[in-house]
Amino acid sequence: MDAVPAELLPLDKVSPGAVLAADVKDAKGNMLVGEGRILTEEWIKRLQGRSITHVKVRAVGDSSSVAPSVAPAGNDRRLKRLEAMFSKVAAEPLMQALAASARQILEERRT
Amino acid sequence: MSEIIENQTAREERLKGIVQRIEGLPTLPTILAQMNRMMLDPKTTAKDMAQLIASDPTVTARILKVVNSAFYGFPSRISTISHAIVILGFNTVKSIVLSSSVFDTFGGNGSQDGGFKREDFWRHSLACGAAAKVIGRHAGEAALEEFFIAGLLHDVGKVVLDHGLREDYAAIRTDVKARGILIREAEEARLGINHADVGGWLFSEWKLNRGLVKAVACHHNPVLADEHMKAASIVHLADIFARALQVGSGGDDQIPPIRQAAWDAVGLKVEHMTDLLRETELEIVKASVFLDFVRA
Amino acid sequence: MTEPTFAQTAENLREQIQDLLALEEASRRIQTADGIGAILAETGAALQRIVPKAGRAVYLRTEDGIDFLCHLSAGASGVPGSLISLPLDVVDWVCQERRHSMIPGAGGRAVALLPLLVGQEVVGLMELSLPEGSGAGEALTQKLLAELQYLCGQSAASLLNAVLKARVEAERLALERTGAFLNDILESVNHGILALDPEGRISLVNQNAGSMLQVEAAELKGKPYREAFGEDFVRLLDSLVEQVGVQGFAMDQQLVRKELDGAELSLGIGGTPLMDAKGHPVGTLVICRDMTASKELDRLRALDQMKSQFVSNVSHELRTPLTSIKAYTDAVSGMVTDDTAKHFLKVVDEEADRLLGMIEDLLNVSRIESGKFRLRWEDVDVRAMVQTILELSRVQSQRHNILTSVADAVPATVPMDKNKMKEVLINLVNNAIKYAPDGGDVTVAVQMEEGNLRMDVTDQGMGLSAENQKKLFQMFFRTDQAQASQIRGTGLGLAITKGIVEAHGGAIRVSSEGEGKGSTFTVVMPVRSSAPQD
Repeated sequence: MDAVPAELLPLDKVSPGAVLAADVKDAKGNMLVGEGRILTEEWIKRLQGRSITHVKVRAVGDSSSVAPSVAPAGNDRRLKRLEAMFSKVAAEPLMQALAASARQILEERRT
Repeated sequence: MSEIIENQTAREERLKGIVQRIEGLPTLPTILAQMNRMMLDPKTTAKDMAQLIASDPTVTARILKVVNSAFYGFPSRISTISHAIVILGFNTVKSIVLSSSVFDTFGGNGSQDGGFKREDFWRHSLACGAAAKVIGRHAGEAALEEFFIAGLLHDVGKVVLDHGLREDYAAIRTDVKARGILIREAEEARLGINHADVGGWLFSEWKLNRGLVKAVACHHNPVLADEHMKAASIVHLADIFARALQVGSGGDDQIPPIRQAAWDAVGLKVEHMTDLLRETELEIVKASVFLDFVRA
Repeated sequence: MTEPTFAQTAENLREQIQDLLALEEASRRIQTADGIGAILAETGAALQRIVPKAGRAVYLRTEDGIDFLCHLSAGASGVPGSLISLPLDVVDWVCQERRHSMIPGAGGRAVALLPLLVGQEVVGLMELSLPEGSGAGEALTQKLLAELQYLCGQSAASLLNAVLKARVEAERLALERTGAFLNDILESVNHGILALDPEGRISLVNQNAGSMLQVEAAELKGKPYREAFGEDFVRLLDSLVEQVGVQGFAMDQQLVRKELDGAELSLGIGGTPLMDAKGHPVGTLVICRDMTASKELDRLRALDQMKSQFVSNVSHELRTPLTSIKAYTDAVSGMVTDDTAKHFLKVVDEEADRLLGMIEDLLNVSRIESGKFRLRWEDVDVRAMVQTILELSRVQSQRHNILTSVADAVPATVPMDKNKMKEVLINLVNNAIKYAPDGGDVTVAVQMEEGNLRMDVTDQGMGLSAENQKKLFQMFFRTDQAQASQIRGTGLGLAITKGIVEAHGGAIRVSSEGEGKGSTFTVVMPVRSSAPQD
C-alpha cells in the first residue's frame, strides 16, 4: 500500500503534473476521472468547467521517461554497428537521413 | 546489386516447389478458422465471439493481458473477452488471436545450433510492428493495429523455412555471415524465393485478410502489392526503421535501402524521421507485452 | 455451424440491401438537414431505427475545444446544455485513439461512445445507452458497428459544416452590429465630422456636417473635397490638411456661413490626422463645431449681467424720489382740513407705498440673482409665527377660511431668518387668497418630514396647468389666467420666495391637479441643530 502523502487542494491551486489521489465525481455522483490520472492543464480546466472545487492530489513524483535506456558503454558499440550497417547504402540520401536520425537517438541516450 | 525483374509465374512455380518440400507445414489454428467463419456473418454478436474464445483459456488470458496493457492504454480494467470485443472491436481481438496463434506455432526455441536466435527474431518483429503502427499513424491510416500485426508477423516466413527446411536454412545463414549479404539475398541465391514469399503464402493458405497477405509477401518489393502497395510500403519502411534502431536481429547485419517508390507511397517527410524513431521506441515498450507470448 | 442454405443467403442479402438503403436514406437526410438542430434530429431518428431500444445522446466540442457539450439526449446520460458526464479518461481515449469504446454500467447496461470524425478531427461524440438485459455483448455485432460508424461519419461531416457556418454567421452579425453602432455614434455626435483620405477624397461624412455645410451628405462620399464645396471652405480645408500633415494638428479656424433665411451660422473647423491601428496616417479628420449656440450663450450671460446691474441701479434711483413724494404728501396732509383732500392724499400715499413695495421686490430679486442675499439667522418660534400670519391673513380676507396646524413633532424653535421666512409664508398665503377669488379654504400645515421642516399652503382656487407649474417660479412669470384676471401682481413674488427658501438650504414646489382644482405650495427646509454664525 503506498504511503504517499495526499492533500486536499482547491482546484485553482493545483499545478499541472499533479497526480490524483482519489477518484473525482461530479455533483450527481457520475465518475469523471480515476485515481492516478496525471492532471494536465486541460484536465484541470475540464474539472473547473464542471464546478469541481477541490481535489485530492499526491506529491508530484519525478516523471521518468519511458524510453529504454542503454548503458553508455553499450552505446559506443551500437554507434559502431550503426556505421558498419549503413556503410553499404551511404550513397542514398534517404538512408543518410535515417542514419543521422538513428545516430541522434543514440546520442540522446548518452545524456 | 541489380534486381532481376522476372516473370511472376516462374516465381510462383518455384515457391510451390519449396513449399512441397517443407515438413510439418503448420495448418490454420482451429480457433482462427472458426473466427473467420463467424466474422463472415455480420450478425455475429460480441457474445458469440467471446464464447468461442473462452473455450481456449490460454488465448483468453493472452487477450486480456494485451488489452489491459499500455499497448491499448485503455483507462479502466477490461475484465471479460466480451468486454474486450465491444471496447476494441472484432478485428482487434482477431489480430491478437492471430498473433497468439503464430507465436504458439512458431514460438519455440528453433534451431539448436544457436544460429537462429528466436528471441532476437521476435524482438525485431515486435520493433517492426511498433514502427509500422507509428508510420501508419503519421500516414493518416486508421486501423493501426492491422499494421502492427503485419509488422509483427512480416518475417514469419523465416521461421517456416528454418523449421521446415532446416539444412537449407542453416546453409543460408552461413552464407550471410561469410559474404556479409542480406538474408533475403542469400535465400534467393539458394532457393530462388525469399522469406516474404513464404510468409505471404502461409497467410493466404490461412485465408487471412488479403491486405495482410500482400503486406507480408511484398514487404521487400512493395510495388508488387498492387492495390495494397501503401500497406506493403509501410511494413517495408518499418522493417528498415526497426533495423536502424538495432532492436533484435533481422537475420543479418545489413540494412536494406529504402525503396523510393515505397517512401513516396507512404508520404512521410524526411524532417520527421527522428520523431518517428523516437515514437517507435515508445511503442516498443508499450508492445512488450506481446513478447510474453514467446516466453510463456 | 452449418453452411447457410440458398434461401437463407438470399434472405440475408435482401435484408442487407434493405438496411443499406435505409442507411443511405438516413445519410441523405442528415446531409440535407438545415442547421445543427435539424442534423441532430435526423441523426437521432436514424439511431432510433438502427438501435430502437437504446438511449442516445450527441455531444459537440465546446468552443475552447477541451470538453464536450450535450446537444441532444433521449434516454441517455447526457443532459442538453450540460457538459458530458461520462468518465473523462475514456472520452479522452476515444478522442486520441479515434475509435469507439464501451463503458460498462451497473446491471449489464452499457454505454457505447463513438467519435464523430471528420478526417482526423473529433468533432463530437455519440452516446448509445444499451438497455438493461440485452447487454453490450449481445447487442453489438459487426454489422451494427459498421452502420453506427457510417452514421457517425455522415453526421460528423454535416455537423462540422453547420458549426462552421454558424460561427461565420455569428461573426458576420457581430461585425454588422458593430458597424451599425459606430454609425449611430457618428450620427449622434453633435458636431459635423468629415474624413478625407490621403488623396483628398471624402471617405466619410455625417449628417450634421451635411447640414452645417449645406450639402447633401449622401452625395459627398468619394468626391474630392475640391469639387464638393465652395471656394472659401476649400481654401480652409487646404490650409487645414497642410497644417495637419506638417505639424500633426491644426488650429481651429472660423467659417461664417449665411443661412437661407439670412441668419448667420458660425462654425469652428478643426482637424487632426487620421491614423490606422499601426499608427500610419491614412487621411485627415475634420470636425466642424457650431459656435453660434455658444455665442448665444455668451450674449445671454452678458445681458443677464447688465440686467442685474440695471435693476440694482434703477431701483435705487427710483426710491429716492418716492421717499420724497411720501414725505411731502405727509406734510401736505397735515396742512389740509378738507376730508376729500385728505382722502385723496391718502390714496397718493398708498400708491407711493405700493411703488416702493414693487421696487423693494425688484431689489430683492436682483440681490438674489447676484448672490448678495444674506440671511439673519435666529431661533424662531414657528407656532408664534404661524399664529401671526393667521391673524394678518384674516385681515386680508373675510371670505376665506384660514386654517392652520402645527404638528407636535415640530420643535419649539427652528433656526431661520424670521422676517424673510415670514415674508415667504405671507406671500404664499396672499397668493392663495388672491388666486382663489371665490373664497374657500386656505390651509397652512407645518410638520416634520425626515428631519426637514415642511410647510404646505393649500388653496381651492384657480389651480395651475402642468405647463404653468413648471414655469411658475421664473421671474416675471404670470399665468395667462392671472394676467387676464383683475388680480394685480408683478410676477416677482414667487421668484423671491424661491430665493429665500433656497438660501435656507431648502426647496419649494407646487402641485395642482389642474386648472380650477386648487393648488398646494410646499416648502421643505432642513432643520439645523442651531442657528449658524455668519
